[in-house]
Amino acid sequence: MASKTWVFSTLMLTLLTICLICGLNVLIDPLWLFGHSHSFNSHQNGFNERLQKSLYLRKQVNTQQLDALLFGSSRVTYYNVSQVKTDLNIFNYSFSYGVPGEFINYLSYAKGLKGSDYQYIILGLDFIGPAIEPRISVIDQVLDDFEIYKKYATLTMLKHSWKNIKNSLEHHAGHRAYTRSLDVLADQPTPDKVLKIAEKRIESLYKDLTFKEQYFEDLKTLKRENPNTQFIIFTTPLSQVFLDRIGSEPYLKKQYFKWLKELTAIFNEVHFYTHYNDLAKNFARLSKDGGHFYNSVGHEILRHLLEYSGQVTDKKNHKHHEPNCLLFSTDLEHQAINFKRLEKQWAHSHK
Amino acid sequence: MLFNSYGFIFIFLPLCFLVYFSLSQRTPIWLSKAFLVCASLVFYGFWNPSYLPLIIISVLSNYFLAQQMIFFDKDQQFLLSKVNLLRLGLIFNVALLCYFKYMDFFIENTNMLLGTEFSLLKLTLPLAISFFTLQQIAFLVDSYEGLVKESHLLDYSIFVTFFPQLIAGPIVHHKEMMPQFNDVSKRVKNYDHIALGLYIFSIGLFKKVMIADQFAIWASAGFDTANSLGFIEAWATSLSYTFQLYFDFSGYTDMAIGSAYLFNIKLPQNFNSPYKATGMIDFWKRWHITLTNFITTYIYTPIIRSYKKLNFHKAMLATVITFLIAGLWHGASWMFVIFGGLNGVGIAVNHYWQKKLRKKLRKKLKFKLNKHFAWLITFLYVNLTFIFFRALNLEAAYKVLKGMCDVSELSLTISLPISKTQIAYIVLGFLITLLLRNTQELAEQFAVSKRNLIFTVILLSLSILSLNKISEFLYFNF
Repeated sequence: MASKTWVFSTLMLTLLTICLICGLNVLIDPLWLFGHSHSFNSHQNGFNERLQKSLYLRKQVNTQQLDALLFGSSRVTYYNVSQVKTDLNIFNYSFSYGVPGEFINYLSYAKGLKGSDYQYIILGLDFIGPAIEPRISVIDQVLDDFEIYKKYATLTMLKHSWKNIKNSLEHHAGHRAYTRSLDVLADQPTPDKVLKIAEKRIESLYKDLTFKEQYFEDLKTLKRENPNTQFIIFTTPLSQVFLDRIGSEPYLKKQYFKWLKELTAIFNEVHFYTHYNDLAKNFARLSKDGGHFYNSVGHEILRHLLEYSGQVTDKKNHKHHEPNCLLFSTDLEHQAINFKRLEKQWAHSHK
Repeated sequence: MLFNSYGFIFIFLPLCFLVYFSLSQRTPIWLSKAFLVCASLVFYGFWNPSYLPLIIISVLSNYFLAQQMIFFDKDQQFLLSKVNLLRLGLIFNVALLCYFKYMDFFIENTNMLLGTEFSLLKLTLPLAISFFTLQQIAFLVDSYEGLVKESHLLDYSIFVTFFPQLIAGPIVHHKEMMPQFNDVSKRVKNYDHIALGLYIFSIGLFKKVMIADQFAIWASAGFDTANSLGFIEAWATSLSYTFQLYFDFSGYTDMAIGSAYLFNIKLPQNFNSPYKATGMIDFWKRWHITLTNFITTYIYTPIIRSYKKLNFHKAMLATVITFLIAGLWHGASWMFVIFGGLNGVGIAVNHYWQKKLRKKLRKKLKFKLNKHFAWLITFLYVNLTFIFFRALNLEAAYKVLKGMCDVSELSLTISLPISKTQIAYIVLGFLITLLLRNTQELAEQFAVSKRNLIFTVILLSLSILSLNKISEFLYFNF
């Protein structure tokens, strides 16, 4: 072989290999940059939901038509907003370990894309939220097109593509997988397994928790910086085993009530799902692990919140009352009744 | 600009190559040389343009002084004598290095010793200052000694700034570089050289991106993040850094040599399987060879010459002093001085063993040091010295050393505190450095074959597809 042939063959083959891998990554689209959908990319792994959802919002959503954003942690990612019958155009912008300190940045980014305020911000808040450190923002990355498209020329992205292809062909959702329209799919473990997972998760989640005041400051900032937006606040449901653990540890229980009081003080109204309701009792059937409840629960929660705000279009199954939710407001009398109810629940559960 | 960046691989290098050879074939030679100098300055300035004037002033000043010495005429009255010209040049270079690299170190130590409160200058270290200063000192000394006959500004500028070797070596000598730039046969594209260059470059890129950067994660976690280290963790940390340093620096050198080959320029070998060394003398003949050559010629030899009577002990003292200076050359920190000192002592002990002990033991006890045992001692000692090279302070070095000695934790360890991947990489590190041929050996046997084509394509593809986490080379700090 002549040296010249060798040099050109080497360069061409290298380029071809890189192009093939780039092409495959574009075809599967693990970063959600393009809209194409087929049987090889129907199950998408949310390996970096901050980045993926921010890119999706920038590249694929007409933000001018968006009315509301739903922020929350991984618990809220399971709520498929597309299935709620409402006139509002909502985008589920929740991501793993999402906390208010981060929502400030991502909301500001989303407002930048829309060019105006959102009508509603729905916040799904977790009990352990105040103990979670906000992560570094990915907005700078999202805005750098070269850096983003470059990611498709990497082995790291190939690994994600490969995983997506495998899951799509096997229709395997695992912990959670996203469809191309960003609905979440999740495999359902048996109730026995859920119980085991929940007990295991308690140990890892509730060990050495330190609740930080910054969490409440961030919520105040969020509200202050968006005076033209209506905030709908709800707290995510928890299973009975988790609530039992909170009740058995004075520090956790104290934080639980402090959290609730502070949220009510900041937002005036909180739809409180984190208590001994039917969801908590039936968690083995309704959740993956005692903390992450399936879309069916999310659907009911969102329906209730939107109905409460007068935004549900489907009035057939109109519910006047949501037994799983306690509404906390600044009405002190009402608040006292609810607190009594909660205390009663704790006392009853610890008998 | 980094060798392991899209900008260099896909834009700078191909563009530079095409323009250089277009100019070489169609225009006067000075134009292609001028282009190469400009391209190299762009390469340098891409990092931090504010230091471009510094390198330009340094090149022009040294060239001017060297010219004065080359054409020095005893009969003509000149402002300075030849030796004073050399002194001036040396002071200028050392002062430049001291100001930008060692000033804060000097102020810190003065403040500590005298209780003063001089504020630090906090200057950003100009990239490659240690490397281009060394090369120019060598040129000045050789000009003084009459070893340089004649040189043109463009030739001299290319010799100093030629981008493949500008940032972190290999430290080149004017004798081996300048004739190459003037060789007419090197002005045309040579596909044998291009193929070889691509082959060497791909090996270097793979070493850096796929191996060194992986070791870097574990080394940083152990040295910088962990509060304390157990026995296995500490050994894994130190070995990770030892391998990171080799794959990073030798990877950089391979890329430099490979890039230079594209322009028909042969850069000197800098590494020759250093971890196969069976003694510290042997190690420094294999590790950063161009630095060893420089310090031998321009530091060690002058010290030796300054002795009226030379004996073994004085020679060893000169060795230790040379290595202390070489250690400090790496960076403004006592940790580098310790690193240099340990290596100097290691070499002195090695000499003592070779010259005095070995024969005695062989005669009296019929003792002969096993080759494998010699390798083990050498490797462990090198690994030890690199702890001081990497650690930011004595405390961090002590943390690693303490962990490495803490055997008590070993028996308590039920599960491994490090990942299987890290173990696999360390084993791979040993296998590659001890059993496989090094890049130079591979290059010597290189032929344009299908096997090498597939090998190069795999290395290049994997490396380029892993450029998402671009990282600096370790020797950029020196």
